[in-house]
Amino acid sequence: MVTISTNDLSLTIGTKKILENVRVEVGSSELIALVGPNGAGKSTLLKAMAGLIPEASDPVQINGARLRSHTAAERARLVSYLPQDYQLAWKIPVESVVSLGRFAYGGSAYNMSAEDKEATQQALDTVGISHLATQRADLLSGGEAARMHFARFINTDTDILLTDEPCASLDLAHQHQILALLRGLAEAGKCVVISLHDLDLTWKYCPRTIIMHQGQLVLDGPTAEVLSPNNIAQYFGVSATVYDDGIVFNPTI
Amino acid sequence: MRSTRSGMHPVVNDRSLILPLLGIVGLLILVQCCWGSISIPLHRVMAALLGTGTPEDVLVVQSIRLPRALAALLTGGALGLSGAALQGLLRNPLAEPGVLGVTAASSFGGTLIIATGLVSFIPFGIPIATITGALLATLLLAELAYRLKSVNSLIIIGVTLSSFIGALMSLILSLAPNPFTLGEILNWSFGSVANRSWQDIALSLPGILFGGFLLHRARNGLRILTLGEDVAATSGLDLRRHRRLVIIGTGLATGGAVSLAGAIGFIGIIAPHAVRPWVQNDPGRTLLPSFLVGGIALMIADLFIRLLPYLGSIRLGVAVSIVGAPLFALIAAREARS
Repeated sequence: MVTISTNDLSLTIGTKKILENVRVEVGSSELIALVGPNGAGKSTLLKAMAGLIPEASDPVQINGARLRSHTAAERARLVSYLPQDYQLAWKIPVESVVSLGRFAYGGSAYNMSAEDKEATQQALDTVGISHLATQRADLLSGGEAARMHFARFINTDTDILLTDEPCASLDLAHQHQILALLRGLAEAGKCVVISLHDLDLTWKYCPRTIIMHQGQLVLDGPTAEVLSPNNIAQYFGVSATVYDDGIVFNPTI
Repeated sequence: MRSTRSGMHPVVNDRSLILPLLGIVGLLILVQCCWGSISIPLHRVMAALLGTGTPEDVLVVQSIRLPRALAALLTGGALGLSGAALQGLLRNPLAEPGVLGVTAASSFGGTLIIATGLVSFIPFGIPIATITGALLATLLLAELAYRLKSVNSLIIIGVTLSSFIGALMSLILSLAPNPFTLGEILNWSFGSVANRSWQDIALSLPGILFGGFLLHRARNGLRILTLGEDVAATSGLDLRRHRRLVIIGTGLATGGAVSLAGAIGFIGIIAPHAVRPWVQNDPGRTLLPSFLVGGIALMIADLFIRLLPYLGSIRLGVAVSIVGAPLFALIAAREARS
């Protein structure tokens, strides 16, 4: 059982309030969607939970212990994070990128234990890119690259997985593939928090939804309750019809 | 069509790259010992190295040629290694101690301590001064790197730092108290490994070795930094500690190299560039091979200026820049295109 929580998390940069008294607690076997319009604070909240914002790390707790009380290496074995802007400074092979998921366990590209090698191969297989393993990572298409970085992300095998818009550069079929994988991980006991723009995908895959608005957490609950037509109109400014199997946005004229 | 997309260079494991490089290093040391104004055949060189040759052979080989070869190896190696580490930290293939002004700052430290005469009062004065200069410059650059975010502006700052220090050097030259000091200072500005003694090597070796040790420890961090600082930090890399490791390691290694041979540029960019295709572009795996390739490059350059007629009076640093600067431009142009 694992939990990650923020207790009245606030963050101000200059005079701009980025996050305001955000209080959230998530735990094992959950797949939670963070939704909200651009600039709502979703990415910042995920970064803060990942420990990437030092001035906002005090209110973050893992299993009831302050984030800062863990060393960088300990934290990396509990929480992993996949940012939205993928970076790749050097033209290393795909399997090297994915093997970097084992970094926190001492695994590295040329000196890996059999265990790390197997985990890396499995991550490549899971996202379906093992045929690209020996290719140069910088030559992949946008969708292939997104899946490669996702494979690195799940190769960490941490109990808490935080990812910012994992579907942004994927075609429809691969969006469903990634979300189905994340749902599988949650069912296997992981705590998964993702930010998503697509409310229909949120409806289909995520049992719990959090709506962020202007730096505040405004709604947190079962997706069926949170994503009501009223709430969608209020926080996203669009009219939508919610069916059992998805959300359809109404044309506005 | 997949295979044409892979674009991979021949994959070798690290041992099958390092062993041949070590072989070349050994070969070049022997060539250095054989060739010169008087040639000594290989069997006499071997005897001299073991101390059983004629006194003249032993003197030439052990006191003149061997230290010179080792000085070239250590200097080129430390610069190649520093270049590889700085490139990994700053995630830019154009970063290099020479281009970024680190060698200039380091040789300025050396110049200053000679010109002020302090060198006769402080034990280990020269390596301390060159290492301090290199550390200060690396620290300044790293500090700016994290404020600026754009690495290209960092290189512009490095170039500015270089020319600023060049101006300070000219200032010291004009104010030099006597011709002897002037000659010493010129030695620093242009770089040379001629007439290096075992004592010179012993003075610079601690900096190079300890710097190399620190950089070697930073290799895994350089690898995870490939995916950016956010991924590196959440993967368990202590970014501040790692940055400190690379900065101090580079300062020690570059400072050690400069204390031995003065300012020599471009080795730090050319060695890692040559190595990268053989290690699948992995920044953690470029370090040791870059040391060896940097050492080999400088030993070959030194052989050339020793052996070709008319080149004898050219200083090593000048010869390296004449070849290195166009190569740097070529590499920069290729990077800009890709």
